Amino acid sequence: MKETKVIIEKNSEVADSIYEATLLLDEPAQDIWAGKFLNVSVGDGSHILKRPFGISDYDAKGEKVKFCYQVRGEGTEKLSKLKCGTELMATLPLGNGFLLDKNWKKIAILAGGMGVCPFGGMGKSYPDKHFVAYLGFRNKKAECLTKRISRFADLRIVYDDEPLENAKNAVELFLNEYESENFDAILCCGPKPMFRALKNAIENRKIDIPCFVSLEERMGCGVGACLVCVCKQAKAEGNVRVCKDGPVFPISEVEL
Amino acid sequence: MKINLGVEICGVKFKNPIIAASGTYGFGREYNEFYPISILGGISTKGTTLKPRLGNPTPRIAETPSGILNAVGLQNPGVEHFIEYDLPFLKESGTNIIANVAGSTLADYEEIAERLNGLVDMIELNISCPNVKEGGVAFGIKPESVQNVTEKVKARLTKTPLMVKLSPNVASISDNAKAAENGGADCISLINTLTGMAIDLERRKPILANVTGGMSGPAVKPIALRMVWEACKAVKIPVIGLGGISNYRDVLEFMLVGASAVQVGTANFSNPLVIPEILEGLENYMIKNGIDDIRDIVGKINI
Repeated sequence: MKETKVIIEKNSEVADSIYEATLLLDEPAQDIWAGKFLNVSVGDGSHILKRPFGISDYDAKGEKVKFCYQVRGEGTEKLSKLKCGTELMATLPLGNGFLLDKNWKKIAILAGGMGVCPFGGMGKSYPDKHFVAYLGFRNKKAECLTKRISRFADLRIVYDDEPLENAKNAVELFLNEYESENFDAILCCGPKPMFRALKNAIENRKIDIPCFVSLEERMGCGVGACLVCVCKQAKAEGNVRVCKDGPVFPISEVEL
Repeated sequence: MKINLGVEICGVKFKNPIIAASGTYGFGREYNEFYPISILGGISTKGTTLKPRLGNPTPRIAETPSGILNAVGLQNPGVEHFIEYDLPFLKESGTNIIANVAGSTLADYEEIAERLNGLVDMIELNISCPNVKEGGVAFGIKPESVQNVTEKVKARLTKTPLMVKLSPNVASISDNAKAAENGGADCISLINTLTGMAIDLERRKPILANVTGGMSGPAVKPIALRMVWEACKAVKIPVIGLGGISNYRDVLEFMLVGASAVQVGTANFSNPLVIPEILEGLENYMIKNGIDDIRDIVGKINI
């Protein structure tokens, strides 16, 4: 984790209001792997908070990172207008990321919408594992987000506006295949209702393999000091910090 | 040229006038990963209560122009956890420890003060947190109440100096500063956050789950500076200034209006290295301007 100057190498719209940015790091970061995030300034002094984004890809030397973002408010709007060569400040890598057991061979990825982005670097972080990705998007426009994950995972996709006969969303898609696939673990990133549906399914179907969720929350410092981005623990009293203790948690340990 | 950044506040020596502000810096562990927190003049720890508190629901933060609103609601692990787990780490770090304490009742304040008496370098009395239903700012609005809680807590602090943190959401900051002084405060700090609100227009809902929150960041600096200036004129005890400080120039401005030291809070979120950068900026400024002692700046505003 360090604070470094970064230069925008690329920042372009890949779908309707969805952008992909590539940053060149002034100081290389050694400890990046899939599921970690960065906190990046938006190049305008009146927006004093950095914005947290899941790292969607990185190079082996730790000199370059990519992330995707959707324009949702003023900060992402400002970010989307920045030209190549613009200098920003970033703190990275942050969070725990996806930590996979070496004995796990086959992993199910469940992602909804922008939730697919943090999985982009999975193939690099874990080249010898077999990934099957169950993805749900609002419509076909978001298909560009599957480019990176398609390089290392088998894809099953469902669109909200074209539901399949046997599956309306990614969780249902996964459940249809779960029993025949022999997964060792499940990783999920998406909106809260998706987490809840998965949690219910795990309980109802007595799915007993490890399952992890990558959470999103409005953040302050991004490094664990300010206690803004907390989530209640499901089994114990107290909160966990999404930025520092997470963003990846066992699904059974957090209140969703 | 030999430069002195050291200051002394009610008998406590600080290696420099930069203190990390409560609630923005945890208990120092996280920022210690960026730089050794021993470089700080002091750290005002996360507001601590007798029993652990879970705080408010999320979202707890909203960004506003050049500022933020927060409504964390005093989430903290409780004073016993602080003493057992955080205090040894902080002692080891070698910076001054200012324990920020809060309570729901007068008795809470007295009990926590007694528990920490002699264990830390200073106690900062938080009677200005706008984000909790009971206590907090309820003690910090009326001058009589400020004086009363200060007196009660001071009576328990036989070994540790008392800093009272003032709320800006009051009728007269001078009256409240005087009330703290009359109650026996050894020094005061101000300003805590200003109560504010932010709306998500699309959903027609407040962004904060708590509806309102405390505003901080560069946007509040002019208000903070004016209030610190007024407080410095009103009392004889030392004043610690805070509110939107994000670079060395801001520090010098607060010291010019009379602050003996300052606290840096929200700026840590924008830039985790802001405190080392401020220290470097202060030294360079002093060398450039032939100032060999930072204390020579205090109160030297020309009006």
